[in-house]
Amino acid sequence: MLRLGRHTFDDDAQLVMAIVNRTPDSFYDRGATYAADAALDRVDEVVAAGAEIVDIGGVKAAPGDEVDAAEEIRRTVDFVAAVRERHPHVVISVDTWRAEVGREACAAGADLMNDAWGGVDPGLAEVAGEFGAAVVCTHAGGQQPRTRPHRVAYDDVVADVLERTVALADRAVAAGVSRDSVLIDPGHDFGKNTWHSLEVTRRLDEMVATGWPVLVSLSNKDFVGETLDVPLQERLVGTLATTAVCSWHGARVYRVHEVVQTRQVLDMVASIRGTRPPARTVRGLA
Amino acid sequence: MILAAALCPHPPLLLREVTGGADPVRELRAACRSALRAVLATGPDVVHLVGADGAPVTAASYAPGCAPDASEAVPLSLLVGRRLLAEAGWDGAVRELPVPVAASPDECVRLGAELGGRDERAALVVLGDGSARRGPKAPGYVDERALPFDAEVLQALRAADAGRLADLDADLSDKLLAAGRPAWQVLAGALEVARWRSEVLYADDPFGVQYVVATFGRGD
Repeated sequence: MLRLGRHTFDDDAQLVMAIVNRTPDSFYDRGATYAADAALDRVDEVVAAGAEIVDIGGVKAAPGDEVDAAEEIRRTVDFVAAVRERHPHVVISVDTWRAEVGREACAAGADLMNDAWGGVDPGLAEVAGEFGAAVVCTHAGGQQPRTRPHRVAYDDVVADVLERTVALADRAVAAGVSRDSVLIDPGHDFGKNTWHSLEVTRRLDEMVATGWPVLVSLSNKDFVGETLDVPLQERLVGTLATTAVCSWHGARVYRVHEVVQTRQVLDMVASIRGTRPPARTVRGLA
Repeated sequence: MILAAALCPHPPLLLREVTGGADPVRELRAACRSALRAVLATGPDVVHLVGADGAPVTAASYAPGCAPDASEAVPLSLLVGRRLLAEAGWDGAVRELPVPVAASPDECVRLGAELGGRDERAALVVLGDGSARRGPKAPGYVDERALPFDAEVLQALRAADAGRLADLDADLSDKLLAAGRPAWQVLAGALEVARWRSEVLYADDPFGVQYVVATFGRGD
């Protein structure tokens, strides 16, 4: 069983985590949901489309204008409370590396701390433990938040991913997070070039084999763009192909911009695997 | 004595298999080849390969799953230098000088002067890059000191001015992610012992990192 704050899920459930950016400058939506009402509309839409989780972020991942903790709290915490009230059945995740932001978010009703920068602030897992929230332990190759990979080299990128994420998971449990509330994430493109992101995808089964549930964040990222030589707005097909491979390898949670399309891919793979019956089969059967 | 010297950058992109189907640095690659051919045409008995020390890597360290690379793991600068030499057709003697990234300007200049003072007919191939903080899309994002810093380096290279290269500040170079500083200062030490003319074949920052390709021939 996977426990995400107030919510629990079966081990064969594949969950869609919809990205909701409260930022003026994130790479894909470019500020479309920076305003609170636009962000709430986005939440309504993704919940209606079947997302189990919303991931609320107040700081874009790439370098850019400085966003301090106070501003990050201003962007995210009241919004968490508003979503909690409006959608009590949705899992609320907050995309942050800062414990002080995590504390305010948990107090406002967040269920999951999406620590996408590799545990740079060990206090974040302690906060999750204290509030009974879950945590995502991500590989960022030891890079500091909001930095780009520059000539990052690995003897074996998957070995580094396994070592760091499992160590972070163990640390989270030691900090008080429930063992069934810890996920690991290979961190596509974080501290990785395109080749590295392809390699962690190719070998994602090795992460799944650790026993920790695996979250992947693939949506419209640069490794898709570089692999297919397509601009930002033409990366959905490559994202979905990658999603299918990760699903086949056994990933459990998918952090995405496009909910409906992702859900179709996950349902299709689950039916191929044999864990989900097709929706309706009559052909040749009548 | 040093017959001639070439300066090239050492991004992993210069390892052709790392860039995938397309070649996004065709022009840079061609400039490096021209520079090395010009320098090797002076007929050296040995080539000194000079570049920043670092963790040993192969092409597979950057591109797992690309064409298998049987080469020995060496610091990136030397890996790229070896490849450029091989692509330029050099199969003669090579001596490698990995320069500690923390070496002071004085230490680097001394290393270069020692190379320049040897009783041998040598060519120098120096690997070094400018700042990686030249704009919002750069690997290291923006530092407003990056453009003037790289401009100063470029002017010093165009003028073959060893003194100006030797004066570059190590701390500032580190902050600007300018990996070439120690290697440039070894070059400065090697150039000090004679008069030189230089030719810059390439100077651009297509991906936010300053790359310069230059050759140095004796002017005396």
